[in-house]
Amino acid sequence: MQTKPITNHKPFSQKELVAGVKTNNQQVLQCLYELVFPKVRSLVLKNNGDDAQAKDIFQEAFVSTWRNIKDGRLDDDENVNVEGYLFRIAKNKWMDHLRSANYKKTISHNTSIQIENPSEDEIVENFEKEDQRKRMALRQALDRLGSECKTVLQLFYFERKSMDVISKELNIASASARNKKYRCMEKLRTLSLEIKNNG
Amino acid sequence: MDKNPKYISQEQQELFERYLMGEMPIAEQLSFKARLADNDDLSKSFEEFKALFETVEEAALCEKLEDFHSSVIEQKEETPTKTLNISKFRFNYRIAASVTILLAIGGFWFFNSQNSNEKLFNEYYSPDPGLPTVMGANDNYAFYEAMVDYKQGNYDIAIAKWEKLLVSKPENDTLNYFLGSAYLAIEEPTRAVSFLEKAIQAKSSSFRNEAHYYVGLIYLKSGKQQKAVEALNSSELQKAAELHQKLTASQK
Repeated sequence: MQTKPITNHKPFSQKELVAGVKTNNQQVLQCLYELVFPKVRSLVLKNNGDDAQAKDIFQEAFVSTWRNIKDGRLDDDENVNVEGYLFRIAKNKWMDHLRSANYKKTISHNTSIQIENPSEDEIVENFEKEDQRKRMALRQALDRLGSECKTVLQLFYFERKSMDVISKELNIASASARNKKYRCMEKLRTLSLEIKNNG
Repeated sequence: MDKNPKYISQEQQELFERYLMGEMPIAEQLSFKARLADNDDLSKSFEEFKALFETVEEAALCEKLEDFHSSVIEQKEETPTKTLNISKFRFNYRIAASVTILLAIGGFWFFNSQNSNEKLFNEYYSPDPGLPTVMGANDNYAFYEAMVDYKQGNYDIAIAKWEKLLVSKPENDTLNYFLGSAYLAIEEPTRAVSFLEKAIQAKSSSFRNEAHYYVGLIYLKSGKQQKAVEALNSSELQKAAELHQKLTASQK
């Protein structure tokens, strides 16, 4: 085994990217963001979009990619390319956006990407929209949860910090942090059921 | 609130969490999936919990994305000044490099023993680059996750993760070797030696040569020349032999 110095911004292998996304590794996520965003931004800017739209469409695509990787949809792909995958999702989303804007304004755009006809993707999309509505309701519940609960849950579920670390950060006993996490999830569920029942 | 079915127990929640956070060993995952498949109630509460879990996770991700975004924008704005700094740095670097070359030509024996040991250490030491991380649903998942941290230079995080794994596999040579390597990288040589020696003790370890080499380097740095020579002698690595020769030559 040869030894050579490691650099701090070592590019990740595809497998490391997939693994890192699954565990919310911050360096991996940030690296992915920094690699792909400039490409999406230039695509959007060249095709009738602005900076703010580039950011929105890219972040939406980022969340979808993250979700799909977590659901294991890229696991069986031998030649997986996470950056390419994220870029394609962003591009498709932007094309969808152009298509709908087209439809509303009935103005023909002079864009450099070919706008394809709606396909079977549309059917998949409807499922996704239903899914998205559910997610929105849950998101509302989370917004009503209160910041203390939100912090405990996010530190544990997203940042993947241990209960010990969290209890130190919040200055509470480890056992009560654990209990808090349980109560907070219970509360989140109650809120989400209330929102669902009240429409 | 009574109109809603009761919330799951704390134990059940923690079971679901371990599954969703990828903390279950593969055998447990399989039996958990089997239980979900033939228990409708369990499957229902799991799906409900999963949706809540994912909401929390996703909201946190969205907040993170905002951070990432501002840092991308900042980087873009900083670029011009950074380039300037780099060219200045390169200029100084050339001077530094020529000084180093002059010193190297002068040879290490001009320095007193302590100083030259330190220099030799710096010349020969670089952290082990780590293993290529392979991904898959296996028990080694946690190990490779820490390997990612290790490769990024986040040695503290890697150490914390590996030490957890060491509890159940105290004799594992790979774990001991990389813990040693990480401790050395954060300049805790005493701890590093004890892990490396543990790795050496393991039967037919594939890290034996590297471990001897690093142990030799640590002794060298702390001025225990004789012990360094012995350790280096036990390593079959080319650079170990090279360093061994230099040390024995300087002893004469």
